[in-house]
Amino acid sequence: MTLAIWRRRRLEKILLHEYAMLHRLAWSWCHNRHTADELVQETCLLAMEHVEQLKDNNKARQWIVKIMVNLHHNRMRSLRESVDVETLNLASPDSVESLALQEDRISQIRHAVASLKYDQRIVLTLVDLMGYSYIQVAETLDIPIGTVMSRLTRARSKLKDKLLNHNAEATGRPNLRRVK
Amino acid sequence: MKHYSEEMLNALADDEYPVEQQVELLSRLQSDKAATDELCKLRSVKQLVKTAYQETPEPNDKRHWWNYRTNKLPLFAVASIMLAVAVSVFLTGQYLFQEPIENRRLAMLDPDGRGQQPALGESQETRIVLHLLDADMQVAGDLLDEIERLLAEHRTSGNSLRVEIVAHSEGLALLRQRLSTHKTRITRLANEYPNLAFVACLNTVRRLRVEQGIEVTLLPEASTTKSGVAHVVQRQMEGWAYIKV
Repeated sequence: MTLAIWRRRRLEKILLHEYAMLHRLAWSWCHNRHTADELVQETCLLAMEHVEQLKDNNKARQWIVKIMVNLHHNRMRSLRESVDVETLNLASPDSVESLALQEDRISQIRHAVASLKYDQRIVLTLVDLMGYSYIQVAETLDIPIGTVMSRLTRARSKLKDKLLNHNAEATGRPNLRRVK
Repeated sequence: MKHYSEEMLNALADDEYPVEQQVELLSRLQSDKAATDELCKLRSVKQLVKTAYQETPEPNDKRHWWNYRTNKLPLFAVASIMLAVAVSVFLTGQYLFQEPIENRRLAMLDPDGRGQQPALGESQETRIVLHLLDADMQVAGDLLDEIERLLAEHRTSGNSLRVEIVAHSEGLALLRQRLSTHKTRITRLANEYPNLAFVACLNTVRRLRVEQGIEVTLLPEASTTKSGVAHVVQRQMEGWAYIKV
């Protein structure tokens, strides 16, 4: 078996293994199933077409995510992103048995994430959903680590205001209970 | 919370610091109630985001990535490529047709013979693998028309030709008992041309069973391969001409 075939087969296995994770990440950016489908499939196709550029298999996941970030970025740039958050379907997919309150909360969180600025949303999802370190995020996005930290800080500050402070005001009781 | 920046607290929430430094910072934080509360809030936000995306809509199965860009290659383009193979064989001294080249219908599509070099095996046999990913029976029918014409012409000329149609993903429909509208024709072609093979991808069969609960029954003429993609890649490495449909 030639090296080229081996590389393709190995990447195909990685892509199949990571497909669900990639789709989850894409959906957290787009909040639209079909757009997420297209983004992931385009990513996989592009990865297979450029398999020779993947030098370190240990970084395959990061390399694939980088491709997806770039594709999404190009798409957003061409669309001149102004996401109408109200039109996004942010409901939990299996809502039949969920409590209404739980459903509202999930939608609220997703709504808050979707309303973040694009750059902040990307950094936040890479850290919180993918478990990336700041260095990995910086490498994936080709930005300084300081920029990663500042975008993440601003993103979490906005989410904190929307999800924690707002909820405490609405219910009249604090969200956090200190356990000693 | 004067001594702790928001960035520092976020880095603590994300376990960015080395263990020893993390422990030291957390110990110092205990004396700062505001900073401790802020750290708790940041960790809560982090956990909320993770929880909100634990369950997301499933990917669309019907548009699996390797079928995303199905090249709906127009049949005239398929014919052009196959013609290029045939014309190249002609230009290397092997005659495919009896008629003058200017009268040959297929040759008109590539008059200068700039098509691909034919995939010739050691025995000068022309070998073509067609990768079918389209479920459209009209497309499949047109493909079979061209294949049958090519096989007939090679038989007439006495030149050796091997053709494989590898049905993969949605293209598997051509070789499924329940979906194929070309069953009779496939039976006839398989009987008439031993040098023509229909190959079904078992990964697709398995995926249909596991993900959609569909038990696929293949046509009796279909042979199988574990992975359609791997099969066509292997053929390419063996020097077969590759056409994606």
